[in-house]
Order: sequence, then C-alpha cells, then structure tokens
Amino acid sequence: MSSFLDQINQIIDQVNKLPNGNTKIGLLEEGIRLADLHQREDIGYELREELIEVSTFWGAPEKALLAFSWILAEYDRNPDQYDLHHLLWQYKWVIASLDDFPHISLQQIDQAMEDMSRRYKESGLGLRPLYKIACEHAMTRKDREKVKYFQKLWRSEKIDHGNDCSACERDSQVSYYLFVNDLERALKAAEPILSGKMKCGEVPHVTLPELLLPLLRKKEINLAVDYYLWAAKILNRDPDFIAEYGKLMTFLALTSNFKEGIKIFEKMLPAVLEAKALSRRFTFQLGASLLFHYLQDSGKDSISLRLPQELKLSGSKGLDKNGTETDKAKKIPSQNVQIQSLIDWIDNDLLHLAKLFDERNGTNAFRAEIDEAKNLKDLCCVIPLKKEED
Amino acid sequence: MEHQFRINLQGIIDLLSNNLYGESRVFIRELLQNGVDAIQARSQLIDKGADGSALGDSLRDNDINFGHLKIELIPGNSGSLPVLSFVDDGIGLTEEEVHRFLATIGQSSKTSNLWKARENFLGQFGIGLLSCFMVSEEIVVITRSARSEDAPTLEWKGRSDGTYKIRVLNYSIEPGTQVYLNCKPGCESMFELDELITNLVYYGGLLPYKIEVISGKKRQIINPEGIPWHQEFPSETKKIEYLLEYGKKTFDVDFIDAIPLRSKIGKVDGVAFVLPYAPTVAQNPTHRVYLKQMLLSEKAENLVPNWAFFVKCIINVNDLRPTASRESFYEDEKLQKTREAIGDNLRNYLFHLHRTQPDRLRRVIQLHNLSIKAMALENDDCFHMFMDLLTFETSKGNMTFGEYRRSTDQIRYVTQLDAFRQIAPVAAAQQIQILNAGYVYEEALLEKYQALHPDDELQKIQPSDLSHDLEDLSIEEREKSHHLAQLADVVLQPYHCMTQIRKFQPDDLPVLLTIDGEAEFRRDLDRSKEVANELWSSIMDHLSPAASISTYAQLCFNYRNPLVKRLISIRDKELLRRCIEMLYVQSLLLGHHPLDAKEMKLLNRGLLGLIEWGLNQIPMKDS
Repeated sequence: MSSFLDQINQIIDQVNKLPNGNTKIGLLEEGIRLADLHQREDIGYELREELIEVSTFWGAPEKALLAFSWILAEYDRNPDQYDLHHLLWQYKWVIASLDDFPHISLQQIDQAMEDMSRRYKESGLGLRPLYKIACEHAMTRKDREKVKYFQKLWRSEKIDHGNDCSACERDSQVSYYLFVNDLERALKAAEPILSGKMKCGEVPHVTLPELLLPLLRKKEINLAVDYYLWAAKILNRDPDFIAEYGKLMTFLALTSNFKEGIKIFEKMLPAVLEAKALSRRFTFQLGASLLFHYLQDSGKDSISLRLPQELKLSGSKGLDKNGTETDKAKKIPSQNVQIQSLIDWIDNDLLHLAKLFDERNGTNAFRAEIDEAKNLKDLCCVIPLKKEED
Repeated sequence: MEHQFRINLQGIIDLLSNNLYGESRVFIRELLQNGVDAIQARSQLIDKGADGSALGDSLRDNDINFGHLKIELIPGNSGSLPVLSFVDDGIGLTEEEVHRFLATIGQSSKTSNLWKARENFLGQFGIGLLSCFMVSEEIVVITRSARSEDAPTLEWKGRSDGTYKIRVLNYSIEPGTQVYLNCKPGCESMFELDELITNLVYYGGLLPYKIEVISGKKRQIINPEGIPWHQEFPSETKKIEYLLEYGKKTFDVDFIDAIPLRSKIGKVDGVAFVLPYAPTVAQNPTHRVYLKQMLLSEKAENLVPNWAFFVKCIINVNDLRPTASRESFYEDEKLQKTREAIGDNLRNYLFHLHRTQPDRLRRVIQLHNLSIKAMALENDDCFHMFMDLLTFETSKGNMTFGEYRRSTDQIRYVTQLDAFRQIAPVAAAQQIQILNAGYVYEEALLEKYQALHPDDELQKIQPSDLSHDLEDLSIEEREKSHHLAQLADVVLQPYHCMTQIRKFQPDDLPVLLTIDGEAEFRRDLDRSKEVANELWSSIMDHLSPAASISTYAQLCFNYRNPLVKRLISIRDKELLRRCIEMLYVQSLLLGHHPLDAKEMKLLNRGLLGLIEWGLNQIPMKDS
C-alpha cells in the first residue's frame, strides 16, 4: 500500500496529463477525499482550486461551488497561507453560475455578490467583472432597466488583472447588442472574435450559437450556415455548452435539418439530465422542443432514438411502462419513440423549469421565451448544410 | 563613396532578434538559405537559357559544375577574434541588385513587411544577411554576378551602426558570393568548430548541395548522405534498419519501427518513428520539420494528426506555407489534406501489420494503447480493426476488449475510477465482469461501439447496481435476518445510507458499501457545509432540491460472512446498533471516504464503547 503522499502525487500526475473531462473531475474528487481523510487542508485547497477550474469549464458548476465555499472558508481561517488573487479570480466564475440554480434565492445571490464586491474592493481590484455578471443576470431576467444600468457601470469601470479575458468581455458585449436587437453592432463587436483574433476556451464557442437566430431573422443564410458549421466543429460535446447545443438545435429545427438536430439531442441528452445548472437545461430543451414539434409537423410520428436509461417516457413503444428499479439492468439500446410522448416530456420539463426560474426571479421572462419560440415558425425554411459535420 | 541607410538599422536588428529569430544561431540557417537560393537561382538562369538563347549557351559552357557551399573558420589568436567565411557558387549579385536588396530592407520596418520581403530572392538575401549582425559588428560581402561574363567583383562592407560602403575590386572571382563575419565579443561559442558543425548539421543536414567545413587542415562534408529516406536500399528491411539508425543518431532514442511518410499534396515526405515508450496526452511528441530540406522547426505543431502521439516524425515539406513563428503551417485546405495523407500513412502501416505481423501489431497497441484509442475514436476503419485489440481494465484484470467481449454476455462498464475501485473486488469474486471506462477516451469508445452495434447490450452501471446481481436470500434466511435488516435501516437512516442483506463472495467481507455519483455529491456537499461560512452554507442548502433516494449510499451485508451470521443471532439491540454503526464507519474508511462530523462522532463513540465493554470484562480489583 503506497503512502498517502504517493497516492496524491500519482493523482496529480494523472490530472496534469488529462484534458478537461469527467475523468479528470473524478480523479480530483478522489484526491480531495484523500486529503480530507488525512486532514491535509493545504493539499485539499490546491486540489479544490484545480477542481473549480475544471468543473467550471466542464459543465459542473455545482462542484465548483462546493469546492469554492470550502476554500473560501479555509482562506478566511488562514489568509496568510493562500493566494488571494487566485481566490478572487475564481470567485467570479462561481458568482456567475449562481443564477443557473433556481433554488438559490435572489437574496442569496445578492449577498454573495456583496461579499465578492467587498473582497475585490479590499484588495484594490475594480468591480468590472462584477458589473459584467450583474448585466448578464439582468439579461437572463429580461430586465432592460438593470441591463442598461449595469452595462454603463461595467463600461466605465477600470480594466485590471481581476478582469475576465478580453475575448469573454467582447462576447458579453455581443450578447448585449443582441439583447437590444442591434445585430449590426453585435456583428461589428464580434468581428475580432469571428476573425479568430480574440479567442479563449469559451469564445467563439458561446458567441457563434447566439448569432444564429438573429442571422436567420435578417436572412443572412450563408453566414448562419458557416457559423453553425464552425460551432458544431468546436463544441466538442463539452457539457459546459449544453445551452449552446440548444441554440444549434433551434437553428437546425428552423432550417429543417432534423437529422443533425436529432444527433445533437441524442448525444447531449445524458449530460443535460445530469446537469444541475438548470437554466442551461432550459435553453437545451427549448431547442429540442422546436426540433421535435417541427419534425412532427413534417409528418413523422415516431423515430428511433437511443435514450439514457434513467429517462422514462410514457406511452412509448418499446419502453417498460411500469419501470421498476430492476429494469435498470436491461438497457434498450435503441428504441422506437413516439414523437408526441417525447414532446410531452420536453414541454413539461420546459414549463417546470420556467416556473422555477420565474418564481425565483419574480418575472415571467422564461415563460415568455417559451411563448415567443412558438412565433418562430414564420422563419422555417429548408436550408441544406454544405458539409455534414459529425 | 559612403552611403547612409535610410533606416534605423539597430532597430531592424532588434526587430529581427526579438520577433523573427529566437536565438542567435539562426544566422547559420539564414546564410545557408541564402547560399541555396543563390545556387537555385543560377540553375534557373541556365534552364531559362535552355531555349537556345546566347546567354544560356555561354553559361552552360562556362559553368559546368556548381552547387557547393564552403564554410571556413579562421580561429582567433591572442590578439584577434575568429572570422567565419561562407562561400557559395550561386548566382552572385550585380551592383544594382546590391542596392536593391538594401532598399527592400529599408522598407521593412514592420515584422509583417519583413515577412513579405522574404518572398523574393533579394529580400530574403538582405534579411538573411541582417541576422548576421547578431554575431558580427561588421559584415563583408564579396560577390560577382553569374549573369554576364564581364560582371565586376564587388565588395560590400556593412556595419551595425548603419553605414555601408560599396567598391569594385580590381580582381575577378568565380561567380558567387562570399560572406565574412568577424566574431562579436560574447559570441565566441558560435565561432568554435564543434559548435559550428553541430549547427550546420542541425539546419542543413538534409540540404541537396554539398556543404563543406574547412578549418586549418580539417575538412568535413556535413551532409554526405542527403535525405536518408530517399536513398536506394536492396530491401525494405535494410531501409527500415537504416532509418532506425538515423532516428537513433538524431534523437538518441531506440525507436521500435520506422514508417515512411508521403503526401502528394504539400509535396511532403519523411519518416515516422514509433516511440518505444508511451507519451502522455499532454506531452505530445514534437516533430522535426524541414522546408525544402532546410530545418524549419523542431516542434512543428499542426502537420501530424492529433491522435498520432505514438510517433515522432522527421518530415520534409515542399509546398506548404509556414506561419511567421515557423512552428506551424497556415491552417488551409492544403494543410488539412496533407495531414489526412500522413494519417493515412500511419493507419496503413498499422493495417499492414495487422495483415502481416499480428504479434507485432499487438505489441505496438499494448505500448501505445492511448494513441490507438484516440485513433479508433476518430476513424471508423481504425475502430473496426483495433477496438478488439485495445486493452481495458476489468474486474478480472487487464484484458483486450475482444477477450472481454467474448467472455461475457453483457458488456457492463463504470465511468469513474472511484466507482470501479468500490465494486471491482466484489464483482470479481462473483465472476461478474465489469469494465473500467474511467480513463481517457474509454467511455467515448464504448459509446461508439454501442452506436455501431445497436444489437449488443452495453450497460453503464453505478456501483449500487452491482447489488442487484448479488444472490438473494431465501425466505427462511430473510425471516431469520429480518431484525438486522430493519434495525440497520433505522440506525443508518440519519447518515443517508440504506441497507440490504445478500449473499456474496468473498466470505470474509462482512459488508459492501457503494456510493453512487449523486450520493457522493451529497457527501461532498455536507463536508463543504461543515466548514463553509453561513452565507455559502445556506447557498449550498439550496443548490439542489430535497434529497432523493439516489443520494443514499448502500450498505450491503454479506449473509455468508461469519461475523454477519453472529450479528443475526444477537438480540441485544443496543449492542447490535453499535456493531452496525462501526461496520458502516469502517467501510467508509476502507473506501477512502472522509468522515463528516456526525460520522466522526460515531467512530469515537463506538471506539470508546468498545474499550469500556472490554474493560468491563475484566473484574475490578481493589487498589
């Protein structure tokens, strides 16, 4: 039996060699458990910092949140032992994700933002990242007044090393112009991103999908297809991008590319069901809903799909209606699914999610988004994709 | 007559050394490049004349044999620093051309312009020459053009302060160019013979023209063999042997095989050496790339497919455009097709091994499991051919996917190492085979297998699913152990743990604790909450909706275990409770699960209780 430190070193060695993904997250969690077991807070701290980074960018912000609240408390107990700037750098990721969990109250989010703001001020950092987050939260809630207010604060605040990277900042500006329906300025702002001059781990991944619908509205078909193909190539099944996959499905549904849309749905659904950041699930399901509604409109009743074991639809052929615990052992690889039952499940899920968020936010923004999606039908067209991308 | 540069030469030199050149030894590459370009220009001149023009005829008559670079080192002595001369018998320069190349440099005050200037012969010549100022304060160029028989011999003397002089010499040299460099203090090592030869071989070892180094009486050809993979061999085996030796000489690695590479697109050829060790995902091997036989980069990035990290390549490229950094090529369609062609070469090699030397293939796959896994994921043909040969960890030890598939009715896998560790020993004892897909690419490979074989049943399981496969109790056994089952549930409920009783191997294992992903998350959450401040603790409370069944751990008692049998016979509820608690805590510790505050209390209370109980067995003596 190797010693504790040998085991930790082995884990760190493997972690360093791995790309982001569930394997890496699993290893880090194991390392953290070992460190906790041996009461080595210093090692636990370091591994948690790494876990925060990986899980933030691999679609598991809830894991980042757990790890972050631990290191925040540990930092406060022993402030001389740890790197404050790194802590503050990661703080903004965690704060940005709070909005995605509908059971966390607005009051709690505000308090957390106050805490972050206090710590930033105390260490002499500007509040630019905080205003950016506040602005993004306001956009999700469709609160125009607040969006404008924070947009102004954000733009006038100094740029320092506590900031998001320039590509992320630029992307957020693009989102703002799209929010105010100014596609022209959005495209102009996006130019350095679209020409590849500005990029990072999340950009252009998040920028491209959000441009698709506005481009379709303006009949910029070729550009939309190009950006779709580009996005499909780089999203790389990263569960961090399930909302982006939702936007791709919306695009595919509107352009009658059902086959590609179903591929995405099948591929990403397991990650969607596991995701605890439910606002992303909402965006995914919104795209899925359009996809299957339009597919049904095109005359299809049923399709063959591979669905995750835990998903139980009612009334579908090939599914055990009285699904009990034991039929977990029987996986049905591919099943014939009634599109209507799929739509029922998706739309119920959407309504449920919208209710959670709207009740928490005290608005009806999510519900309104579902209703608005119904009006997209006018945009439906048939646009073949130039190349098939897997 | 004295002229003045119209530019800040020092600025340009700084620009060069900071932006274009990483290290000062590149002046050697630049001088070699100039020599090669000049020789090629001279050949073109003759070819152009081959249509019968008088110029061509006269040139052919006079210059039967050229294409030779001579580098001479005159070592310094006590009073002087060494001098280096580079002599080529290429096209040479006319006076007008000398002025023109300087003008080209004069316009190049930005890095991008410098790169543009490189695209023609004169611009390249001038910029190449400028790099020499990194090692020499003064550069002397003596040149005579091959364009006409009566071309004068010119001397150009440039200094790094920005002045230069041109004069016509009163003697005649053979057509070509001679460059003389005086060692700058601090650059002595570049002017030592050994280092000079090393650098010449490094950059020009594959060049098609003879390169000779002279120092005193020593003479050495630095590229006697030309391109190793272009040579003729009596057999394929001899060729591979030769290439392996070349690989060893170049990288000091005993490679296990050499794969010739060729792509029509990009006009690319070379060798891929199969590494004798498995590199890691993050430390991809770098490749040595030559552009038209001149070394371009030691770590070219995007020429070889991503998945091919089982090889280290030496590649010569003729028709691809390098980026300014010279570490990669422009990502265009041509490059993409070239990369595909190199990928095909590598795949075909493996396919060939598959047909002709299956044992050898097995060894390569064993060694480079990860790279081949990446390859199989990327390409369907590779998947079909190699999936069965790839090694996976299973509850019965390492085996290939093919062996595993044949030995079980149902493919069952877990996707987390931690989950595998929990259940593997118990699964093995039950003869249940579980595949560990917790390493890179493995889950994706199994999903791909499922997609390609929709009729096979692949089952992704959670640790707790294993207990469904364990043997159930008979009705009598169930009745007998009913009180244990009931009490255990009640006792462990506060710890979010459900219990059951089954029969399983090995007999000496009293309980099996399984904690699925969701349950593990809840445990992590509880642990974070214990230390977090009030605000974050309350945020965590609201992270997920109320705990569901899936957040429960599972403790499965083994009816076959003697200890458990004795527990069943105990009627003292208090004692039984303590035993259940201790088995639970012990199984947590065995599984590397940190205890939360409640569980820690349980452990302490349990231990103290046992001590007390033990002491109570000893009759008290009067002190």
